[in-house]
Amino acid sequence: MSDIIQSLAAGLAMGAIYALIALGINIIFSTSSIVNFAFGDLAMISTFISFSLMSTFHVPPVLAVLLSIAAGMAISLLMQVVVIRPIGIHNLENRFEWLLILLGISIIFKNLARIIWGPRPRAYPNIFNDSNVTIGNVHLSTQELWILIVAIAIMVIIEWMNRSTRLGWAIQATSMNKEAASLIGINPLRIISYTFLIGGGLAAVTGILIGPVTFLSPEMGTMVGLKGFSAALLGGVGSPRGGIAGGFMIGICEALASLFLPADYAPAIAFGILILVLLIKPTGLFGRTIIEKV
Amino acid sequence: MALLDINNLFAGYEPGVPVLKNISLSVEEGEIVSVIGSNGAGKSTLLKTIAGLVKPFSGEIRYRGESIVRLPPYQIVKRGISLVPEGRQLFSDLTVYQNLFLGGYSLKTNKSKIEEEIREKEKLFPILKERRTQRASTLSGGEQQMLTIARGLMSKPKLLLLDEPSLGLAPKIIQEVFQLVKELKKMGYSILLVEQLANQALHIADKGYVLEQGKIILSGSGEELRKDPNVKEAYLGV
Ligand SMILES: Nc1ncnc2c1ncn2[C@@H]1O[C@H](COP(=O)(O)OP(=O)(O)OP(=O)(O)O)[C@@H](O)[C@H]1O
Ligand SMILES: [Mg+2]
Repeated sequence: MSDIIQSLAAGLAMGAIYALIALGINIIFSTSSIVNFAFGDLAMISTFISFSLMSTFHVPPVLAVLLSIAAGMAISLLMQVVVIRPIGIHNLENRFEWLLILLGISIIFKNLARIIWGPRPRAYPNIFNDSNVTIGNVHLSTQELWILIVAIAIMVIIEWMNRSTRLGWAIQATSMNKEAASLIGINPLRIISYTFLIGGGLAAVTGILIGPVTFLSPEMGTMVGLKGFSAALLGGVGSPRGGIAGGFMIGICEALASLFLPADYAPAIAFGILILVLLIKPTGLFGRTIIEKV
Repeated sequence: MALLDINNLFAGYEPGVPVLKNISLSVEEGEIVSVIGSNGAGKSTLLKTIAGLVKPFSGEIRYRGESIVRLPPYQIVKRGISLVPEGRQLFSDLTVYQNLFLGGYSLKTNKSKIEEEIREKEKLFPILKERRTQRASTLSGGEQQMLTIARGLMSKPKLLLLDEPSLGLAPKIIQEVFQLVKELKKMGYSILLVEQLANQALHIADKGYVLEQGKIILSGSGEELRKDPNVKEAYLGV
């Protein structure tokens, strides 16, 4: 029994990571109809930047983290320009050039990382001191605790933004109806840029949170990114709450499955659940926008 | 100088396929100008072109003497032209209050100023106050139309472009809408109204234009047009 609770706790932490990625992918998708496949790689680049700042330039951890979040946002904004400029914001939902551009970006990111930081995995400096917290008879590493705290704080902030701020409403208005939004004075491209900035920040935070758990390598973003993307699909692309639910679901199922199956099977679990849910409900658990958009 | 001046305007959606052909019209300050025409005549295209959603091929659109053809919609609304689009186009998952609030987006002012503006609109449309926290999609057709107009007023426009506000409404509500348009004129708004309901639209108009297949084939005062035999036959069903 305590085994189960133990892996539930670990699954919760991993789930929070997937949920953050899904949140980032969703917010960008909601305004731009672009699924950012390079999200995991952006997380990887940002994490490496924070790594270099700390280990090469001896920047204090907090500052390094903030700077790499800023870098993630800036790179994400650059991605927006590269992806959207050639297409234009009209008719984005019917154009798929961005898919190729993003695949290209993903390859460029991985190779850049290989050139700058080398192909072999490196250990991320442990900025959260490495101890355990025991609640009842469940042991959580401080790292897992940090992941949960930061992730939940971010989710609360984003939910608050959507519910109560002018920016959140403008983002929703833009995702519902760009033409009507522009008629009331919203510049849709600017709002799309804001969502890329938010997404880029989320990517950086996610990378830094998992840095100490996995090793740093040019490939570190690939699998996590894919699972975050699965979480978004599972919850219904475009639905922030759906993505969060999907993330936790995948994280927990993976962790529980690891009790009975070899660890190599973890990805199969994530994609297995995804395929199963999509077979039963193609729009995902909470989704409905896909149908309207197509 | 007219408030809005359009000269020899050609516009459309695909290059080489003009929907609007050589349109010239003007709206003076404080006027209601009605453009009537049947399905597909180009009425919505005309308003969309003024609002910046459709880019003209050639011709001039001047607002207070200044050309606005190169401006994007979100800047045109800042100058004081507000399009109330056909088919409502509300932000359906947002509440009535949020829709109104966003209507004031172009004002770039603080929250309390926008709320003041909302309270004013709620005086004009008391039903919107009752429905404040409801999602826009849960309103009736008539309520949605009122909300669309109220949202359009939130940007404090001088010139209001109304695209078939009567569309899909019950006869009683249609009368209310036309009553409201007259009311808006009294409040100082200048109005360019586009309608299929020619009789009512011309009745409240100072000036009217008849649009057929993208061309203006007739113009005159509202009364003149209502008495015109061609208009009577084609649009008034007499
Ligand atoms: N987005 C578009 N892309 C291409 N053609 C369009 C588009 N919108 C309208 N058209 C064409 O432009 C012409 C005029 O359409 P418009 O919507 O302006 O007419 P309307 O007078 O507003 O008609 P209705 O009374 O039905 O609203 C039509 O032939 C229509 O097919
Ligand atoms: Mg129309």
